[in-house]
Amino acid sequence: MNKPTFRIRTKEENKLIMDTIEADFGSNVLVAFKEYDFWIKEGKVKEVFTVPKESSDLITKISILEPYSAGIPIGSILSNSFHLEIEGAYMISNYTSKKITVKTVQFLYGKPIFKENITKYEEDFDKNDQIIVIGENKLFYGIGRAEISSRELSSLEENTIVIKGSRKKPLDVGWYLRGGS
Amino acid sequence: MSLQKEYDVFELGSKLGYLPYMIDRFIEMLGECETKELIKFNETTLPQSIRLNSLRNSFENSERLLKKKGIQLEKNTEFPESRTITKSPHPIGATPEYLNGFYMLQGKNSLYPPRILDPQEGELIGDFAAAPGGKTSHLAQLMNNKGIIIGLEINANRCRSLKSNLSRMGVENTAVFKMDARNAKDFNLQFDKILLDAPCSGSGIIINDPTRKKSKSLKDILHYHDYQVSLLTTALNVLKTNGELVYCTCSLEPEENELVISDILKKVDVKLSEIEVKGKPGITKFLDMDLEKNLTKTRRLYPHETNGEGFFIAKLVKNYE
Repeated sequence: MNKPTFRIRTKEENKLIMDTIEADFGSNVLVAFKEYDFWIKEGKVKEVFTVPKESSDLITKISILEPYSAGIPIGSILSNSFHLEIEGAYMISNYTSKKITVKTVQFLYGKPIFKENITKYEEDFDKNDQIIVIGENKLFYGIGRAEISSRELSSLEENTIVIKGSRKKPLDVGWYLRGGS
Repeated sequence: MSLQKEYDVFELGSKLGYLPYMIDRFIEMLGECETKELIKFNETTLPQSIRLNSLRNSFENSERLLKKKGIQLEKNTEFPESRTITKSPHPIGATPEYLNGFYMLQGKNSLYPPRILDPQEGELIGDFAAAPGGKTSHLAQLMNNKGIIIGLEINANRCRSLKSNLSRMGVENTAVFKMDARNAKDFNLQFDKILLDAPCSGSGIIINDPTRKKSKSLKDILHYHDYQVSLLTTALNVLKTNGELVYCTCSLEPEENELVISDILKKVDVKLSEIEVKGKPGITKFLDMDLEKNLTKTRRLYPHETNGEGFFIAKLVKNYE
């Protein structure tokens, strides 16, 4: 019998996902996933979906057919590490203060955020921290990784990259125009 | 080409690039005068319209943000979620608000089928030709993301765009299956309601796709008919007794619309429901055929009459177990 390509997460995968999110954003954000089960779509990378319990029960029941997708894709597992992507970041964005607000839209094109683009940050961050990026009018832009710590910000010159974007990964909502559909 | 000169309808059709059989059929359905109106209207551009998405933001907030950008909106009196764009300094399909899923670019007539199906929170809904997801995400919105939608799509690329649109719009209650809806019995489920927005020849959306004037033959239309009857038969078989199904196409061809319903009425125990939609009643005479009188319960939305895409809509209730 073939191994299913769309299956409910293992205990180990569940722990990996929750532990990673908690480590990056704190335990408060885990409430965002309370009413869901994680499902995995096997592939070169494992895609992770949050599926409401009711849908999850039904998909389990009709296991003879495998979904193409279900619920919301929140990230991926690659080489035993979990990476939060656009919609996972959207889900936690209201529960975390690990955010920076920017005044330009370049992050939506997969481009980096420079020092002078930042209007505020709600919480100190360290180098390599994951950070939610918010734009004008509190619109969600995506998630990025800090290239420097917030403590270094004041001493930096303009044109210094603070958050790296990615044209190839689904980290910002501009992805929906670049390659997500 | 100037449309001011009074051409004969066939001459006009030919000048506008229609295959002659299409003009014949439009005349059979609408008469010469209205056929002219239709094909002239197809040379215009429809106003852009959007559906505001309450799964992501309140209508008021989305409207406020768009107005702040200089985008002018006009309310549609029929649907609280629909807005017509009357002015926009920005491409409406590329704003951060669009990328946040606050709205979907969606022609106003395509809001009718989900509204007519009227899905409720907690129901099991089938969407049997789901991509690109405009109607699926509308169904989810009407259900407040509660209950379950099973979305079926046969084409892999279209599955991808469906998944992307559902994610962007914050749709949680949908599972997408890449499969031929004619195999829906494999689920071993009984659906409360089903939306079948059937693949069709698209003669109602020539205004958006002028290539349709020449791209489909009568043979193609008959092929669609067989496929549509087969899809609808399967869909009814997996619907609960007393369950409701909305069948729609963006075609104006009777073979894809009334004749599909007529075939079903002859072989399956279903009844047609009245639907409250502006537009013309379904036709009961076409060429040498006399069809069931109750097909007038179906609706034809013509572009020139509704200032929107052409649609055919029927609502069926299943009587058998």
